This record gives sequence, structure tokens and C-alpha cells, in this order.
Amino acid sequence: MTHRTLPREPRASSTSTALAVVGLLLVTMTLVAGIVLSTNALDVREGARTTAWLFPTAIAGIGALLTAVILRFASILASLRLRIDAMRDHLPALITTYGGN
Amino acid sequence: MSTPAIQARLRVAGYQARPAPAKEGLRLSDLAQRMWKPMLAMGAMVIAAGIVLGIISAASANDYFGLTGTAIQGAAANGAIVSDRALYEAVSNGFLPPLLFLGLGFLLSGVTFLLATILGTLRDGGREIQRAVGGDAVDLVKPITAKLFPPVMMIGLMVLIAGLVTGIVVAADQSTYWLHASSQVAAGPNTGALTSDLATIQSLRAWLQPLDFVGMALILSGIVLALATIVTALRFQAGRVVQLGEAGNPAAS
Repeated sequence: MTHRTLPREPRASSTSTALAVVGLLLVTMTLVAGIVLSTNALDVREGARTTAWLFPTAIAGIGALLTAVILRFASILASLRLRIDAMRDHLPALITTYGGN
Repeated sequence: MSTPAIQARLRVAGYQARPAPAKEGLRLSDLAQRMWKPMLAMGAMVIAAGIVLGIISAASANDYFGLTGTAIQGAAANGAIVSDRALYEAVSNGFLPPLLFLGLGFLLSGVTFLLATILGTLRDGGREIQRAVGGDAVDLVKPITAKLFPPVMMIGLMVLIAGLVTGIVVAADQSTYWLHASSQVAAGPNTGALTSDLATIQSLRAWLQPLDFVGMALILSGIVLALATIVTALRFQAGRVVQLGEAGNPAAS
């Protein structure tokens, strides 16, 4: 039976927001590194060593954002279960009380 | 009227429906409920491994490109200097990009599995609510989007795995090529055989990245199809609630 007060929002929600911020920062960082690199494009050594970590870092940023999306979907799932339980437990009583009006 | 005829006429809000089966075997949503967390973990691990490999590759690039032109030109085959270049080329221009794409693919597959879990919850919850208000539980007949999204996602994942295999082949070729003496390869291939090796590497790399994008696009298409199925399921359930309300309240009909 569902309770009168709703349970706290799943922790996945706040984790999701934090991960999204981290992901955005990582991707922005790679953009800044790319711009810095472009000012000295003829430096082969700097170019090679920067591009070696730039792509994995950008992908890690996108990965963090995707993980944030997954956790947000998990929160939606938990809320959906809550809504279904509430409807299952209280809808028959509501129909009886108000008679469909 | 025969049972198949009754079933054929069962419609809710314009969608075809069928009575909820009393017993079901292993369902995709049950499998998905167990799979989304391992997929998320695998994706995170692959991407973390990719970052470590990127740092190792950056260190090799730093060592190699920090040398003078004379030192590079004089480097012997299979020596420490050419090994640095071979490692950098094999990792950063070989298997690392497809590996990272596969990591993203695992994360996106986790999203697809989670959406399948949401669909399963909607279906099971819908049945429970219908029974709770005293109605017969009916399910939405699987729409075409629901039939399509699991195979589309799986094909996408297989394309990414094929991309990784190709990336490993490219990495092996890159390693073999760059382990030659620098005088033979650093300023372009010196022999016909080396030119042919370089051509193989470049031709594989030309279609490898587009292949990875095709894999990602397929997995994302699977997500779009799963989201479309959720919309259909929610509309079906709204229609079913109205149908049950009208059946229980003659004044409304």
C-alpha cells in the first residue's frame, strides 16, 4: 500500500545532474584544448600528444552525459512505479467515492 | 463469436488490444531489467580504459616527437624510438577510436534496456490497475516499433564490434609499418611493399570512422523506436482508463 507522503526523490536524480555538469565540463575542456592547440598548429610534438588524450576525454565527457541520461531514466522508472502503485491502491476507492462524476 | 474473432475486434483508443495472457515465458523487459546496469558498467569501464590508453599514447608521442630530426632519421628498426611511434600510431590512429565508440555503444544500449524496462513496467502496471478497478486486463498488441527496436540496437552493437575488430587489424598494420627503420618510413614509404602497407592502412581508416558512426546511428534509432513505443503505450493506457470509466458509469456512455 502506498503512503500518504511520497518517498524522497531517488538519489540517481542528483547524481545525474552532477554527472551532466562533469560531462559538459570535460567536453568544454577538450574544446579549449583544441583552440589552444590551433594557435600553434605547426608544433607536431604538442599536436600529437594533445590529440592522443583529447579524443578519449571528449568521449568520456559524452559518456558522463549519457550516464546522466540513464540515471534520469532510472528516476523516471522509479516515479512511474510509484504512480502505478498509487493508482492501483487508490483508484478503486476514488471510483467508489465519486461514482465516476 | 469465436475467440479469435473477439480478439480481432478488441480495440482501445484506436489501438489493437489482446487479453493479457495468464502466464508468460521469459520476456524482453525482464531480461532488460537485469541487463541495463551491466551495460552501463561495461561502457564506463571501456571508456576508462580508453582514457588510460590515451595517456600512454600521449606519453609515447611526447617521447618520439621530442627527438631531433637527425635522431629520428637514424632510428633503427624495432628499437626504442620506432617503438614509441608504433605504439602511438597503433593506439591513437588504430584501435582506440573504435574502442571508445564501443564504450559509448554499451552506454546507449543501457539506455535502450532501461527504456524496455520502462515499457515492461507500464504493461504490468496497466494490468494491475485494470484488475484493481474490476475490469478485464488487456494488453496493447505489440506495435511495429516495439518489434523493431531490440534488433536495431543489437545490429548497431554488432557494427561497433566489427569496427573494433577492424581497428585491431589497423593497429597491427600500423605497428608493423612503424617498427621499420625510420629512414624507410618517417619521410614516406621507401619501398613498393611499404607503400602498399601504408595504402592498406589508409584505406581501412577511410571507412572505419563512418562505420562507427553507422553503429551509433543504429543504436540511437533503436532508442527513438523505443521512445515511440512508450508514447503508444501511454496513449493506449489513457484510452483504456476512459473505456473502463465509461463501462462502469452508464451516464457517461
